[in-house]
Amino acid sequence: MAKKVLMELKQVTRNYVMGEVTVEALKETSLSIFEGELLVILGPSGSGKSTLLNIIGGMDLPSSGQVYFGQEDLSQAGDSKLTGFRRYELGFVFQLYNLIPESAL
Amino acid sequence: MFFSSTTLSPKVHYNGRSEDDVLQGLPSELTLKELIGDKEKPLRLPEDGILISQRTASKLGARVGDEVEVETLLGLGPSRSAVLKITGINQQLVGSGSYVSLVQANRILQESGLVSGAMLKVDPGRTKLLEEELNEMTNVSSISSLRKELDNLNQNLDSMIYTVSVMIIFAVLLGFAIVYNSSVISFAERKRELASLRVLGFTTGEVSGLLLKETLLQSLLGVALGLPFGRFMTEWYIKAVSTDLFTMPMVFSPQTYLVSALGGITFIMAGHLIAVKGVKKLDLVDVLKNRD
Repeated sequence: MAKKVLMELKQVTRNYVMGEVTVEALKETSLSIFEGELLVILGPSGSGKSTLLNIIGGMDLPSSGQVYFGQEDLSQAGDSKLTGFRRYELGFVFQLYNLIPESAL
Repeated sequence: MFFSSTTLSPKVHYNGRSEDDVLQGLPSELTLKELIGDKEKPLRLPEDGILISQRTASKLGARVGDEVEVETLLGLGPSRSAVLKITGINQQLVGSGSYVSLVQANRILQESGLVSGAMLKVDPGRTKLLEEELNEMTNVSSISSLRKELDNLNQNLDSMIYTVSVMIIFAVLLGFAIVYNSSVISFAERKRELASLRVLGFTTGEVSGLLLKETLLQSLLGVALGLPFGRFMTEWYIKAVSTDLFTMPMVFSPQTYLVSALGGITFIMAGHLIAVKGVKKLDLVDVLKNRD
């Protein structure tokens, strides 16, 4: 039985403009993530892993290309839609704990 | 219509403390002058005791019923003193002084029928003429007019309005600067935590709501402490600016507290809005980067 595609990135590019210099962190990257799949992203420093995860995590938007979560195109989503995606569809483990001293969070 | 009076400049002693005062002896039946006590109640001039001025009473720590020693400081001859019971505290705001009956004043001075001043009620149209005539009299040392004193006071108060306005403007600016500064610093310190909440799916409204709860708790506590402290500061300020010439009454109404509390809360909310603006602009990617 074919596995269901949970998330799909199509020709995703992310550029960072730093003054007169434009850094291309991701270049026309396409990726499909299947339901129940364990995916590991490996790469040397500066290869664009964090940029890719930021886009998959709904915290950043691509400069071009599409990011689909099911039928929904996250690359065109507004802040409230992305917040809802992060809240209800995604679990996030910070690299550092990012604990909030005053809360039990 | 007129009545005569005697004015002395004695030292008033009580409980080891001394204070210079102006003591006026007035006829028992007052027609041209009204003496005002606590809560603007009229005071009756006693035959034997003294109506002490509010300023002298508070400096000496004396109260109604206490006995004070009045020591006259005459230019010539020995000083004379008398022990007088305080029958009331004179709350006169302008030209504050203490009062005794004319008979009592003479008794202190060991004189009889001595008069050093007169208070006259004059037809306003003839005031100038009378003043000119009095000026020509060599035995008249000074003339003061209630109307002129009032005009002078009003002139002083007019200039005071500018001073007070400048003080209010600075208070507003300072108040806003403090609140703005503390909001900006508090937000900058907690930027990472707030952005973490946003990454986890908290909406800007929810994160701002958390800040609002904290801000409200702090501001309510601040206002609760600030109101009595403000009153204490005003009392201290009034005491500091009171002179022998005039004292300002401290008038506090529920409206005073309301305006102060609302003013404080408005600034705090303005500071909070700046923080909310910051929450909306939080860089979520930045928060995921390694902490230094």
